[in-house]
Amino acid sequence: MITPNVSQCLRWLVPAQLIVQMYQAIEHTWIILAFYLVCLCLKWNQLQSGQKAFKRLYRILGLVIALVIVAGLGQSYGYLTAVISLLAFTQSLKLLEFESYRDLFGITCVQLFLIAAGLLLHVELIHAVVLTISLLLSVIALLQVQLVKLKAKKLSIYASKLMLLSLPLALLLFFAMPRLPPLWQMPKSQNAQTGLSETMKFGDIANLSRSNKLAFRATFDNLPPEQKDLYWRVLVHDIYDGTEWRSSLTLKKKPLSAYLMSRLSWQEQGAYWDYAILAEPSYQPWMFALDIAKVSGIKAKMAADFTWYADKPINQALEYRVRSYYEAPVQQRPDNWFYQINLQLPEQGNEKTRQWAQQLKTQFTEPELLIEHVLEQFAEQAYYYTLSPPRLLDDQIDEFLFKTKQGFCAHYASSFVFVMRAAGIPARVVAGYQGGEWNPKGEYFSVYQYDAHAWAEVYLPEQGWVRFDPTAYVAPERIEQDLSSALGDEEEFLANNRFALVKYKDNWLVNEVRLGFANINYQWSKWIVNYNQNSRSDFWKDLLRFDWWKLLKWLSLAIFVFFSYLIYRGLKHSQRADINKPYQQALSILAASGVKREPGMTARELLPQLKALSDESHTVWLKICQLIDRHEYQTESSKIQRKIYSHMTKQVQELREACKNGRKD
Amino acid sequence: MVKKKASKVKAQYKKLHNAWLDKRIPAANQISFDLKNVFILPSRSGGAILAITFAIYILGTNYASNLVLLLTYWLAALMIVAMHWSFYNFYGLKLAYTNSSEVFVGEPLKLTFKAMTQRDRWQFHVTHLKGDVTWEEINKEHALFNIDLYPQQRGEFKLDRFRIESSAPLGLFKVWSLVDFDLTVLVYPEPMPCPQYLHGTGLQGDGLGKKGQNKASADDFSELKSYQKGDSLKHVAWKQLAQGKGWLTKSFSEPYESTLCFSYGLLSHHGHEQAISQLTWLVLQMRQTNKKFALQLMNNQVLGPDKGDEFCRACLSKLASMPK
Repeated sequence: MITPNVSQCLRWLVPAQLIVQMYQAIEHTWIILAFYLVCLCLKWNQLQSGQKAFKRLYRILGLVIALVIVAGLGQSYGYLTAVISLLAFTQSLKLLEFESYRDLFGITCVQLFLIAAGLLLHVELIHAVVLTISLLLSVIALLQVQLVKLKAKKLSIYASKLMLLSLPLALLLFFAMPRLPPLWQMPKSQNAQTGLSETMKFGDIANLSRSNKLAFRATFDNLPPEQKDLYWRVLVHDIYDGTEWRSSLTLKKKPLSAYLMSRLSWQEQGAYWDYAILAEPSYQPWMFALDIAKVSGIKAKMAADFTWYADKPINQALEYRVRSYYEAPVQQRPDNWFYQINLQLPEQGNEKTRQWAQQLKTQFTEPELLIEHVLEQFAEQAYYYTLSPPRLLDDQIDEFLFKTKQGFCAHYASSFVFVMRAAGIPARVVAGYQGGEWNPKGEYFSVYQYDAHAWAEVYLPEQGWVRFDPTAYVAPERIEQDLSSALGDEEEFLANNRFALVKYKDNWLVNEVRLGFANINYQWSKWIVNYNQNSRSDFWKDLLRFDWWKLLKWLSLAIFVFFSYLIYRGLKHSQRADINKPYQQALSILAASGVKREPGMTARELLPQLKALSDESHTVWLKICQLIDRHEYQTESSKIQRKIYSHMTKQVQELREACKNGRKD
Repeated sequence: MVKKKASKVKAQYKKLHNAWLDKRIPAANQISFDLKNVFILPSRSGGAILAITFAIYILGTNYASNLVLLLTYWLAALMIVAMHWSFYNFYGLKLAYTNSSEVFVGEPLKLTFKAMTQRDRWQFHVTHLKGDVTWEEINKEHALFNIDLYPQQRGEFKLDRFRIESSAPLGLFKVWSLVDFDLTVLVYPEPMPCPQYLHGTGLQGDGLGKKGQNKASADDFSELKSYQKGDSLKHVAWKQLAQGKGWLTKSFSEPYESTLCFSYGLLSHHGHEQAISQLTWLVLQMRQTNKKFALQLMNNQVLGPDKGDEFCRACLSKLASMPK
């Protein structure tokens, strides 16, 4: 039927395809992009030399090569990569044989699939925008085939119009359509776990602190707590083997057995904070909450150490609600098992510390005083808070406490717990995040990986578990403000990430822009990426609480803009089209001067009468006739049409003068 | 047997379909496209995109990915908007038949149609028989388009319903209408040169006999007309005047020998169709040279003698509608 102009189409298709190919290449393997580029070069060559389409043999050869590569990729990268790269290769091969109208639709189908594949893995707003551009370009290619004569600019306008017009309907469907549960299990891509890990070595948290990746966001319903109270608990480490800490309650054991539950005593009472957490995918099951949390909204369980676990690893952004009773004391009735766990130390090693602890134990009979003394030591002695402490060898705690005295939060927390346990006081290390950045635009906290932190909890018979943070004594800025202020001006903060905007937050403008973008991203992931059945009821609730006054203001502004546009367009339109108006004026002028016009007479047929009237009016009328001809019989651009109109009005003025003069004579 | 039945069913279906079409889009010499006479369905490619959209929807559901679902909803919305645009491209367009050229068998029949519209339109295709016309764009004012047809037989040629369709702007939907302009064109026979007869063939049969007698009488008296001033006194019918019938003038027709005569009967030994073709050529020659002639047809019916465009056209029409 229609044979598309291939090179004209490729102008739009190639950028569209490059975008999706690039995404898959970065996500999976560069071979995808290389294959595409080779095919593109071949196609370009074919078009340049004006050869006919590739022979069947070559096409089959291409397919075979592609299949061999796919099989190889499947072996080494897994099933999903193989499927995606097969799709990408299909696109490349389809490009090679692009000839007919039908091919274009094949190409578009694959393109749509690849866009979807890109969206599956990249949920940030910026990626959505880039992939939308790819979609737009594909739409333009479709338009180009049908509307051959249109210029690129007009095509882009049509395509944008089409996409924008359909967007409201799309959003309506998005918010109103019920979500179906997954129909069948799909292969998951293998992603590296991010964030805190199940075990903790001395350097782990310092390493994590070099990343400016977002961990989660928290939105408080009411007044948000102070920075120093934001201890986001994630994991409890209570077993130390001399080099690393791990959890006795590993996930494999049933998190909260009836027995352990019976030994805990706490009540949901006292003051609380209500907030929502929007967790980024970490590919791990643990969740973020402040003490003592009750999570709702998703399937999750609490462990006996008050940490929370989701049923499945968090593979995509996840939103849940938490209520934290921050004043509730945590009492536990200790038993043998309890002491065994919380006083556990490796059988040997760190003898110096053990001696010190024994000495303290005899010195202080009250545990509170002992704790105070140890913390004061951290504050008074030359302990130094740094992201890159010197390497520790065999007796880590000994070396750190008495020799190097330089460490990050994990060093302080571990040493503190070690000393407590050695002195016979039950204690444990807690890993999590501390603080967060308040975004005043969106009114929420962003907690980044560099907010990762470790602190200690000590069991005091009267009070239960009590939190102590030795870091607060070494570097109070870390707790009261954030990591970058604690590290000072030594450029240590995000040292490998030169372009992290957060480093420049002292610059007002940069900071404003950064927070603005962060907020847009937050709204995007809150309303689009993580919109679900639960938030749907919230959506309607929010709608009732909505700031209608604000909406009214915006609406009136929008209406104003709309009407201004209408008026502007109307003016333009009347200027362009109504050449009839000045013509009618001219006719009435003539009628006043006694020129009779029979119905149906054209302008030119009036010329003899005007000749009789006066020479001047005759010449003016001739010009008017020419203008009318030009307007009628030539389809000019609206710009020229408007020019014609203005000329016309000018001529009508002259005609009026001429007729006046004529009468005077 | 089965095949026969199938074709019978097919014919029956076609009959019903045509009847339905005649009712829905009655024949008229002007058509204005609206909801009633325009059909729209997803094109094959549109169906493919729809299927892919559904596949992506399944993908998004299985991975519980909101963004992928949003993409599918957007694609669905895009289809809906594209459907409206496709229809809107047709809606309100007026199509009218303007004129056709004189046509002989073997020559193209040029039918001209005019499209009238208030706004610019995108491309259209007109499909008729083997002809296929594409309109890239229709501008605001009006546009003409021609359908060229090659009629195979002389006589009445009826223009069937033809298809006008468009898949603009995206090719996802096919919009079409089947229009009937209630148009019949008389196709003249194919002219066949026969210079040997340019000087006439004479008349044949009864007609010749009677005329021969007339020719034998002294003057070729043909009729009486009322006397008008300036008529020659020589021609006054004195006899009738004497009878009291008033002043009358005898008028005389020109003698037949001086008129060119072409007779079907005398050419029919060449064969029926060939004779008609030769007569057509002769009539065309007469029209070109503007000579007076008479044409004798099958049943010795004589046209003329006369000359001029109108007479020639009458002769051609008669020739075109001769029994086959």
